[in-house]
Amino acid sequence: MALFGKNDKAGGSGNGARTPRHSSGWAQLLTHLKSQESLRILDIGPTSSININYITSLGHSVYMANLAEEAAQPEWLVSGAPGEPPHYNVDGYIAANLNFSGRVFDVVILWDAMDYLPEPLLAPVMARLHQVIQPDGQLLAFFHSRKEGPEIAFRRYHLTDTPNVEMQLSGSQPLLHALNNRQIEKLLESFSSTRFFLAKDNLREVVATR
Amino acid sequence: MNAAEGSTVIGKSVIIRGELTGSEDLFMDGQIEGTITLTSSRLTIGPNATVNADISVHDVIIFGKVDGNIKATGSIDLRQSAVVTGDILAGRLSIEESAIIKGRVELNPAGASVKA
Repeated sequence: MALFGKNDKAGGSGNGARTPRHSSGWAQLLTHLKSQESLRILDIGPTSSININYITSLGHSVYMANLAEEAAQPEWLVSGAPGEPPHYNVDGYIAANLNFSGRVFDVVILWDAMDYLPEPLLAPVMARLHQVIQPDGQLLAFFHSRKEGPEIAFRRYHLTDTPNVEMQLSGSQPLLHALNNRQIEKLLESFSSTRFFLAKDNLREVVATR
Repeated sequence: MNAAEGSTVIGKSVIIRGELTGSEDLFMDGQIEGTITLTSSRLTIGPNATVNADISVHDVIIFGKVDGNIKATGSIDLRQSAVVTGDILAGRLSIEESAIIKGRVELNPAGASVKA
């Protein structure tokens, strides 16, 4: 199976073909979603009607947020003092994009969004996500292990009723990081446990439990 | 797009601030800040519309931009140019490719009559 085949066209508005990919992390989460009722789920990434339909069909509610594309907006870069480089308005970004009006979530599906966020946002965004996840709540994240190759293109992920997710090229966000395992563990250190899943491609998966 | 046929039309040069209520179908292509209540009718938000309002309708079709919470006892239909920032509560939801939602989605097949 070609994971990143010709049908997976880059760019555009997200109309590319969907490519299936086995996801052990999603398989674990799927078992959880099917065994519980009325969970509150935060799905981070380009809007997927498939995800909305699937999650709501299981009786859960879903909250959509798109961190990576928002982070690329120039409004978050603030001019520095004379002679200093511009800096990132971290507090402003968090307030605008991770304000859930007091809601907390049982599950956060982060996909690979962290790899597309500017470095100053990584720790604050993860700290904010940790705040809004219920105790014992779960977070599924993907991390790229390489910064080069066709698989680094920005994708929208669609859920399925199987241990596969479907990937679809969506936009042209550049991959900004390829964190190593130690860096990922450091990023997730406030969670009570983490479980890593290795895959044949260059995506590592982590299910973290608060 | 022929969504305006048979509906009251608010054109793209119209700006409304306040409460908009009614009992007939409405095609809204202008700007509004406030609330829109059409509990027994269909609202169509056109591609030029900029809506900063909480919306309570029977059905809504969205081509434009909405910043506010949407409650529909019937269906919400997001076309590909739709951008919604706010919570959605509906009996049924249809989303075209490329439509964007930033907010909570909750579907209640029996009708969105429960408190959001």
